[in-house]
Amino acid sequence: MISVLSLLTAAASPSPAASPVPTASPIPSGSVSAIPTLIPSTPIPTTAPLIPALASPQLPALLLSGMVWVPVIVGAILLLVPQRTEAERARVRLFAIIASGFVLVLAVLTWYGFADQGGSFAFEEQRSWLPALGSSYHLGIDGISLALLVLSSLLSFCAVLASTRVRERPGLYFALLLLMETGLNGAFASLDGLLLALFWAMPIVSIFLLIAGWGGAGRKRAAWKALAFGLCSTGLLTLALLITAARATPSTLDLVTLHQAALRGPVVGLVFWLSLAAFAILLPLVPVHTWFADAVAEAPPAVGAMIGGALPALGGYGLYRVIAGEFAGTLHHVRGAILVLTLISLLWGGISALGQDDLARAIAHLAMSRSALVLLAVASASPVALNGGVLLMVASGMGTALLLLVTGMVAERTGTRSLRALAGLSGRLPRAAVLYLIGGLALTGVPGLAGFAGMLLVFLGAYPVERTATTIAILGSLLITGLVIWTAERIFFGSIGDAHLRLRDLGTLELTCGTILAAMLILLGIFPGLLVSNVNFGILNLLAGATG
Amino acid sequence: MTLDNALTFTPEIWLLLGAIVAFLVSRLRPRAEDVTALVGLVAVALALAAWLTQLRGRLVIFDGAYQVEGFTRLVQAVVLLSAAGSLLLTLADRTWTPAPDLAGFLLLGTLAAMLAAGAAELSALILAIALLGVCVSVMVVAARPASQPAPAGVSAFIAATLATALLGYAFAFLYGLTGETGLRAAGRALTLHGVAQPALGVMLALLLAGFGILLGVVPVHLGLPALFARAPLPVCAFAGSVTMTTGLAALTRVLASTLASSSATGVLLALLAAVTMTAGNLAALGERSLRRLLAFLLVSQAGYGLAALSVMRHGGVAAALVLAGGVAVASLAAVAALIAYVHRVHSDQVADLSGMATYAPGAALVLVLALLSLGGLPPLAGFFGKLLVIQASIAGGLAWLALLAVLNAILGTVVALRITRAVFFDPPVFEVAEAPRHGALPVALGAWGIAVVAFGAVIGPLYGFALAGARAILP
Repeated sequence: MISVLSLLTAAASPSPAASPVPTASPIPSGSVSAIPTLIPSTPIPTTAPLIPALASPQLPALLLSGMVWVPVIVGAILLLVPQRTEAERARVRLFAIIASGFVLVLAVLTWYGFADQGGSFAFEEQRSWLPALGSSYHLGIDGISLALLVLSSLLSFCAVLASTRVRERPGLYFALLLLMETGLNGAFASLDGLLLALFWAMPIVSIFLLIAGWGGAGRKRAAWKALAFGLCSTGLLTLALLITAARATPSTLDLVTLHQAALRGPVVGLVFWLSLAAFAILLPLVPVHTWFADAVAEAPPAVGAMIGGALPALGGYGLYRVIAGEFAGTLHHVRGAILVLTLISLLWGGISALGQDDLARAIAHLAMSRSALVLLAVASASPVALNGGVLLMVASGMGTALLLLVTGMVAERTGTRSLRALAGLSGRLPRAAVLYLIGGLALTGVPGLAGFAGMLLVFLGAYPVERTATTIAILGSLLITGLVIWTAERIFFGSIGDAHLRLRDLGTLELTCGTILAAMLILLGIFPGLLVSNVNFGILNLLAGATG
Repeated sequence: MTLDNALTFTPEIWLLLGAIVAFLVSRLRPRAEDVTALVGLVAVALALAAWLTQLRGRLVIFDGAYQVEGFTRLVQAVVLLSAAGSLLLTLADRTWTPAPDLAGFLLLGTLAAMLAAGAAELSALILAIALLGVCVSVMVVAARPASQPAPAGVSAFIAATLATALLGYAFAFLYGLTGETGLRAAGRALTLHGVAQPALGVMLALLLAGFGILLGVVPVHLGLPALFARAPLPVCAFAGSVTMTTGLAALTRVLASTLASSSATGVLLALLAAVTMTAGNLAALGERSLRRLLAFLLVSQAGYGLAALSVMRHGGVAAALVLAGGVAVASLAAVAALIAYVHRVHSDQVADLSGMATYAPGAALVLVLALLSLGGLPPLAGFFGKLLVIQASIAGGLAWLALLAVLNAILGTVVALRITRAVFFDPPVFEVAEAPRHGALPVALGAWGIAVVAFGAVIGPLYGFALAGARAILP
């Protein structure tokens, strides 16, 4: 609790220890006009890195490029490696694990070397690429992207680790999984609109192919649906970016420059709704959510975990970077509509989860309901809630992924995901039961686990701005708590069926994979500041320039 | 004609010499198709080297009938590289009746395309396009598959002749209206004196119909699928890369020089573009033959090209050039993969593609990448042209066209992903035997596959050249 309180203080104002502006006072929630005065003009080193050699200036300049491109390069090599014998297939799996592990190490190094930039971007790389279009190869991260970059690297590593049982075309499978990682990392690290759109399309194509190639019985329909929605999202985003670039002065696709450029006229509303629709598809929000549960349920478990854990984070990131960052004015005008959308998605997700028999679909609806809170944070435009939203994205990403992975492991042993057929498994699968409970409770926001701090900050930040909506959202969240407890009770407790008496518990790799996520959920629950202490400057900077 | 003027044509002279040597060799050794193809490759390499020595300045010769500036140079580079790719495919393809003459005609066609790229005068342009059309139809006849009778070549010849005739009438109208044969001079005369709108409308209709047959613009697009259905695959590669690039470039130069400021022309082009790209993609979606599917995807590319030309003053010309480059690369890659497929399976049906990845993984990957690129998936070669077209449409105030282009890019990607699913995930429908293949096939597959993926890495300089080219031809 202490750590959460300290985070609350940090979210409301830059840390006094870090800032040379001792007069900085807490920001009234929603008061955008007060924010610019709090942002110092020069970067401030907030915390001295524990190992000087790892401080950001010393880190290799290609750190972000490494995180983005290593997976896809290794993936391309995996396509060419022979896979005829079991030993060769094992080698393919090992390469994939090493590649995603390497990226995870780079992500940890990035986190370790990240000094609060006071509103600027860290580890920036900029190379000329398409100067005539105002586009360049521009990568860089602030606290928000850092948190999500760590999330996507971690989830990718766990997904690769959890996919060791893939026997069919393992080279192509891992290549696509790694392509998804490149897309996600690239999107989180892009500071250029065109790059963002390019990376945005990569996870969508890989998801389509992964579901179509390795999915369950209804894979055909689920894959095409995910593809149709995903490509619409990419198309809308590209259109919104191009319109922005055409109408903004100066004409550019660089997100940093666009952040300072003012967009005026009726085009603002058009771009706002186009980009909101693009992000709503991935988040996912009602009414463009129908692909999500199908995709999560029909995908192989590890891919389902990536879809359920990382794609909503990608949509949420878009909301932060574009909607909260560029369109605060428009957002303010249409806040009512956005809040209605938020509440419908939140309640719809919760209620539909109650009606599901397939555990994976129920979890997908839970994740959808959780993601709606991110939109609540964005709609409130309160720095505290926005800080909480980032933590919530990370926590529900890891929680959902953990639940889906455990569901996959259970389904592999029992041959079913039906809630009616599963009962009393805790005696046979105690490890799975513990992991499921940790993931589920993290998602419900139990204190001590990562979801708690995120939800608390979102509700605390949003309440002064939108009392009714926040109250309904809090009540809606209780639905999720009830549902998680009900499913856990149903699957793991009670009397076990005869068919499930001979199940064996999780193996070492499965346990490792689940434990990593569970440990992170606990760690971030106790020390949320570890990941989000740097988010505040990023958010203040976003809100400071949001004029549209 | 001075020596300098003559040296301007060094690349064309190399192509002509190559064609002469190829014809001589084919007369002396009737089964020397590999040798003539190699002669062709050497000639194209020499032409490319000569082209490299001419990168500076602006050359205007024959009273402005032929101009070498940024625009011409860029189109010529695409043409030469595409010709090299097509020649490599004539080496690789063993599904056609060996025809040593093919390389010679291919070189002559390339020569015509090079001249069309630089022609800035009506008669020079019509001659170059006529020569190009004749060469393509002769190639269809000269190298038809054993199972195909000559009518494929005849229909190609009729289409080429019709296109040339329509263009001839259009140019005659333009000359009649302006009294000028130079494109720039004709454009100036149109602006200065003004002309009767109906007459201008007829000229525009004839012009678009003529180029439409070459490019596959709806409603005169059916020649392209017919050609692709029956012509030898290397000729399809040539038609998809060299003819498309040349046709689009020549149309761009004519419109930019004469009607760049006409808003009515812009609206007409935008409407044609909308219909063409949508019809092309929709037809491709339901198509069962892979050859015709590729042709319909090219039809939709022509639609994007027209969309670019409808907003010429807002970056459309550069967008059209980048688009042409991307389309050429993707067409060559797609045809290379198609050759590998037809070679093994002796079928071009989409239904038979199932499980291609199991017996020809490299070709399957290249096929999928090429089709996705033509569909418009980022970040492959075809995407950047479409992106620039969309950007130009927005800048030109045609937001509806931009939206339609985005929707078409999604539709095109869906077309390609339908093939992807069959290739990678459906089980093979029959046993596919090993078949000996020519060493040039993996080279072509590798080279064009890499080009499709790596196109984005060179897009910056390429777009810079395209902008310079656009500046050179816009009055």
